[in-house]
Amino acid sequence: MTETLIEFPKREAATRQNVVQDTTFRLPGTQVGPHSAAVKTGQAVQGSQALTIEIDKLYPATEGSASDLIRALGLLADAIELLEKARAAARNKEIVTSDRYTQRFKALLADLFGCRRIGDGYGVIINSLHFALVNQHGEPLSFEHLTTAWRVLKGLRNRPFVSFDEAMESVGELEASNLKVDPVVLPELVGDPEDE
Amino acid sequence: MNRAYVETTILTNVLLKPGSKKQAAARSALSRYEETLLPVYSIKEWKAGPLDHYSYVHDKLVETRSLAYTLSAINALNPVLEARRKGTSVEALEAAAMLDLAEAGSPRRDLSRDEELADRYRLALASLIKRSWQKRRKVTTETIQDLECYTEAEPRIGKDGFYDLTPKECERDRECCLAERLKANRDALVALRASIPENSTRYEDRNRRKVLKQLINTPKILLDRDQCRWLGDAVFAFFCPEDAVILTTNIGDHQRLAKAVGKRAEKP
Repeated sequence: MTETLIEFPKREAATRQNVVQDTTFRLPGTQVGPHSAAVKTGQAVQGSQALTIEIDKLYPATEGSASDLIRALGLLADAIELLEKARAAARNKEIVTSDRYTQRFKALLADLFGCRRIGDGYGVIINSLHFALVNQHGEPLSFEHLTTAWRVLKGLRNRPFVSFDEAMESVGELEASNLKVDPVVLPELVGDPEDE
Repeated sequence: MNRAYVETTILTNVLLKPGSKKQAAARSALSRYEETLLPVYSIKEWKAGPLDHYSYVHDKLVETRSLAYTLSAINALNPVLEARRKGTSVEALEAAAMLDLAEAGSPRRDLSRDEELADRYRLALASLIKRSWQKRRKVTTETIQDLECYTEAEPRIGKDGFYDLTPKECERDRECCLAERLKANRDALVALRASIPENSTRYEDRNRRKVLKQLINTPKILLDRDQCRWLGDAVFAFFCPEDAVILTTNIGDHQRLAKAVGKRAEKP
């Protein structure tokens, strides 16, 4: 069975086309490209599986909007942009410049965590990044660290409602890049009686 | 070939104490051996003990939405423990989370900060519990001695936000799957029982002696899941392969039992 790329469906009525305006703007970090989907001819495809709609179109940032999601999307876009710059600098061995961008990224994490009502999947990824940076004790992130964090945040921005279980994959990726995502005081907090 | 038979305390230190000296010591100890063997009995004890305790604290954070109240609750469980861990305060945990303290002092800010800290540690615990479970069979080179009466079910978070670790025990409606092999080696059972001080006042020693006595004298009585749990450390001494050493941080208890059956225990 052949796969055919099709364009995002357009409304047929010409009058409607003229009326509908793109009221959104695209922030950095959003997956770009054609609104396309692979459709197997002659086979029914679930709408949600077939079409990719940009997150900024799903949740447009209208003036005065104060929801956690809209705020998080903006902050995530900023964070991704900073990490992109940090990566570029790290690739060119400009460690100080890279670390400056990382510091600015780090400053966004508290506000990003403030949007945690989006869900625990979102919250656990942001929290893991926070503790990963705490555990660096000021040491600059490597190119691999930055790339992983950047990739994870891009994924989060495209799917902010990620489930907790699915978010574990992202946390696992951060861990695999040798970032220490757990607070070292956890055993002290828990105070395991069997350990005494 | 040198082989280690990995006991619950080592598994706990590797999986639940990230970034600690205990984790580093346990990992370093594991790397000394060519083969490291993890019996499923260790996984069972780890899930029902330390992992369950971590999930209790997680659930307490869900319930109270306050780090301060959660710490009070944990300390109330064990006042002796509280005295030993005076260093673990809300302030210490706040400092460990490295949060911005610019607005300190405002009561309203303190309330939201407490809730934020509770959320941070709740998410960190939830994540550690989940990931430690996923890693449990990767700690050693091999996982051995599966238990037919025990189901290794992944911990899951319910819709209410609380962790569900069931089943933590073996199935109730059947005899312990270890019973037959235990009863087949009466001499080892006698030696193990003899190594436990008769006049010990420790709850675990008294229960272990009692179960061993039943296995020795009345083997026809079925060994149930509670008795299997009471055997505890004796299970490691009994089932550790002849050419392996028991790797544990609880060297005192394990050395005595292992020695009784001609085996050895080592600490990291």
